[in-house]
Formats: sequence, C-alpha cells, structure tokens
Amino acid sequence: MANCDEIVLWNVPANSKFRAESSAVTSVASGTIAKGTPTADYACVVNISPGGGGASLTWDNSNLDPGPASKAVGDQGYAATVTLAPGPSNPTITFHAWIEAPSGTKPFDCTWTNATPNLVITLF
Amino acid sequence: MRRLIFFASLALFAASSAVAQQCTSSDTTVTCFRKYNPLAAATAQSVATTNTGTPTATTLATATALRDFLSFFSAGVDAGTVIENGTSVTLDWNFPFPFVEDNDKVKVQSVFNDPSLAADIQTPLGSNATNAKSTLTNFDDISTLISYDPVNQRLGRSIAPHIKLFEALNPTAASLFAVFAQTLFTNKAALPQNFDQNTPFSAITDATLQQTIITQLETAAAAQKNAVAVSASLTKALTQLLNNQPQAYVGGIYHYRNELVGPDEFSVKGTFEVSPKSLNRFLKNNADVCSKAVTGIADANATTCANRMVSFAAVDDPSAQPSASDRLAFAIEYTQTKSESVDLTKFSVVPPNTPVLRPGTHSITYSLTYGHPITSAKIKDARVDVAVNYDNVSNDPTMKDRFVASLTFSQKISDTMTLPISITYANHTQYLPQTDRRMGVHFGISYKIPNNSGQ
Repeated sequence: MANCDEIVLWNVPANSKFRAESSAVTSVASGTIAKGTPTADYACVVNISPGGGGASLTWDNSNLDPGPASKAVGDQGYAATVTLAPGPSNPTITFHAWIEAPSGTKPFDCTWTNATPNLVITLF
Repeated sequence: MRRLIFFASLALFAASSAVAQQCTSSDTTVTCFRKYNPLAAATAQSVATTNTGTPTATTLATATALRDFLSFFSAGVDAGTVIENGTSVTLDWNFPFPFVEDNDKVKVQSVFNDPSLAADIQTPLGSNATNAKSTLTNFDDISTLISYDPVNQRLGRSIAPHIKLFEALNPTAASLFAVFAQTLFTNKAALPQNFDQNTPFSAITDATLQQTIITQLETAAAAQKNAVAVSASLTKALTQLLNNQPQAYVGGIYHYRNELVGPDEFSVKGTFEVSPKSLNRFLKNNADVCSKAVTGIADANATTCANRMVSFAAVDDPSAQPSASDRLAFAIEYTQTKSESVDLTKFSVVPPNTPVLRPGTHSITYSLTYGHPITSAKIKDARVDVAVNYDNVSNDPTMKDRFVASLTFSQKISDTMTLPISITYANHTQYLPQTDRRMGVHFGISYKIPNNSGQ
C-alpha cells in the first residue's frame, strides 16, 4: 500500500543520499507456494535527472532488486520519475525510496505499489 | 537522443499548455499535478487472466494451444458427459527454477480423474463390475506432470528478460521535473518552511517565483501526461507480444492407476508453441530501429521502435484486439505402459476369466494443436482450439494406432472463470481396438485464481 502521493517534494539536507529498492511478489497462495513469494516478472525503471547540470542516471531491476541503489544528492535539484510495469503474471510490485541524511536519519521515506505505476520524486 | 526528440515533440504542447494555465496559487503541487495526471487505476494489463483454455495434462478433451504457466495455482473441473473421461480435477503449480536462467520455472500438474473400470476387465467381471467399481476412490486415477519451461529473451512469457528493452523505450519527463526541482533548490530560502507537495503555492510570497514554479510544474506535468500515455501503450503492447512469445517445455508424466482402472504409465513429452505476433518476430522485423533498444540503449530510433511496437500489437484499439493471438503447438510424447496381471478372484471371478493379462507397451504420440482467439462485436474473450493426436502403439498386437481430434470452444465468463465446450472424435477407444469410431461432447467450467493482490 502506497503511503505517499504520486508526486512528492523532498527538501533534502546537503550531503544526503537518495536510496531506492524494488521487489515484486505473487499475490495468491498455492499448495506449496505461499502468498508473497518473490518474482522477477516485473519492470521497475527509475530515471534520475539533475536540474543543475550533469548526466542523467537510470536504475532498473538490476540496481533495485535487490537494492538499495544509492545516489548522493543535496548539491542541486534532482527529479526521479519511476515506472512500475507488471509482467504477464501480474505480480504486486513494491517500490521503496528514501533519503538518508548525513546523520543517518531518514527524513523522507515512502513506499508505493504498482497501483500507482508512475511516480515523480522531486529533490531540492 | 531519443529523449531529446521526445521532449522536442513536447515543446509545442508545453508552450500551449503554459498559455492555457490550469493551476492557480491556491493549488498545491499535488493538486496541480493531478489536473494533468488524474489518479487512475493501474494500467498494466493482466495477461494472467487471458482466456488460455482449461488446464489439462493431456491434450485431449479440452486441449488448448496456450498452456498457462502464469497462475501459480489453477484448478479446472471438466464434466465429461458422454464418453471416456468422467469428471476430473486438475491442479497446476509453477515453481521458480533459476538454475539455468533466472526466470525459469518448473511446472507440476496433477489431474485427479474420476476412476472408471478398464474396458478389458468389464467382461470378465460381468455382474460383479458394480462391486469392483465401488472399491475405487478419487485417488485411483492420477496423472502427475513435471515440466521445465525455460524463460529467456527468446522463450517464455515474462517481462524479466526484456527489462532493458522496456527501459530504452519507456519515455520519461524527468528532465522537465528536474528544471522544476532546480528552481526549488536555488530558491530554498524564499520557500516557506516545510514546503512540500501539499503546500499551496500561495504560501510562496515572491509572486514571480510563485508563477515560475507553477509554470514549470505545469510544463513538467503536461509532459508526464504524455509520457504516461506512451508508457501505458508501450506496456500493453509489450505485454501483448510477450503473451505471444514461443514456449518450449519438456516434461515427464506418471499416470498412476489402480489395476482395475488400467496400467500405470510413464511418459516423456516435449512441446513447442509458437504465435505469429510474438516479440521475437517484431524484433526480427524491426531490427533496423530496435537492435540498440534490446540492449537497453535509448538511441534516436527508440521512439520509432516503440511506435512500431504499439502499431504491431494493435493496442490502440483494445476492443478489437484479443489478448492472446493465434498459437500453434506441436508435441511429441513417448509413453511406456508396464505389463501387469490383474487378479479378479476377490470379485468372485474364476479362471480362465482371471487373471487378465496386460502386456507392456510403448508408444509415440504426435499432437498438433491450433488455438485462435475470437473477438467481435458480439463475442469477446472466446477461443477455439483444434487438437489432433495420433498414437503410434507398438509391442501390443491388441492395441491399434489411435487417432483423436477435438474441437474446443472456450468462452471467458470473467477474469477467473472460463466455460469450455469440446467435441471429440476418436477412430476407436484406447483399449478396444475393435470398437468403431466414437464421438463425444464435453462441457465444463474452469476457475482460475488470479495473481491480483486483494482480489
């Protein structure tokens, strides 16, 4: 269950890290396979674009599952667009993103599912 | 380059969008964003609920060309009403098998048939047949299949091997949101404390900054609307083509039967399924614009590749496009039947009518199945499957080669329920070579438990 809006504005402290991870699970139980069994049948693509110059960055399943993928932020504005695409088996996808402050705290921490397949995370 | 082209194409739209401003100072980032991108249900297509026919271990009565490796569990109940098979319950499981490829699966399928007395003992039993039949249980005729279904870029119905392709073709509006983010970053001091997506723009006291932020967000939100629309079409097209990917699988079947029902059998089967509108075919025919995208490189041709994919899959008009296209399946099966001697003395049968001897045999079965989805103004989500089987039996002079053909019409009632009707023709029954041609009609209902959370 998503706990944040489909677009978020995060005022990140300097020298923070933007971290993210994704996973997908089956949503029904079978005779021997429990509900929630991990599956790779999904695509998660995160496009990170810097607002003040520099190269864009793309994360996909190979970076996010298992994650977390990590990028230093707080030096300029960044935007990350996220696309969650279930594969033919239609699993439930979970995308988790957060900011890790230099102090180690998490001032921003959100989880979404593919009920919201397109997200925007704005870091400033 | 692809993204530059994408955003160049959006420039005119963004400019016009700025003129027709939709957001006001009373809006927040979220409410402004939603004016361009209303909250909607997930757009991803569920292939798991495509009408794939009913699951059976054999390819006879309710055969389908589209084997379902998607649901982790599905159960079907066939109500055979005329000949051969009675009622059966089929259970399917799909287990991850990541030892060759990451996304490979092993399928385990068990079919519990309503047992009936074998034809070769009914005459010796005579009036004792009813007594013998009463000793049978639902566990006296069970077929168990274990099969291997490789999943990679060429075979199998999974998006996992194609993530780089999806990544290269999927548009993004990140660069426009980055402009918005950079404005916020460089003007942090002018923003109200704890400014976030739910803060009204009116809280920004600098009128020029407020207008700049609104305009930049509108531009990005408009671009996101277009990007999401393209992404949704792309996802649906890719899912459609993945649904048509060829599948190859090999498996072993052990058919356990009470000796009153028939001899135990062991068989090995190899099957190959193809569909004319697969992702493989699309990529082969469009290698000039898609070859880089397959490797995850979003070059200048990526947009063209995406457009062609959407056109190839014909997802622009979902009402006219069936979720699963034509499929052709070819299978070869080797079967070995063990020899046995059936003692009927406990049913008051005396020699020479007992024991009944059954010689061991081995046979090769060739089967060809063709499936065709039917979609029209009046009929939706229906399939027709035609199956032809030929059994070449050796080592048993009492058994003749057998030809079986079936025509199955299955109508999807809902995402979880399918109604199949099947007409089966056989030149003779399995163990009565002297019996002439037989024709029967089967109908039933199949219920599939979908992989939808909370549903």
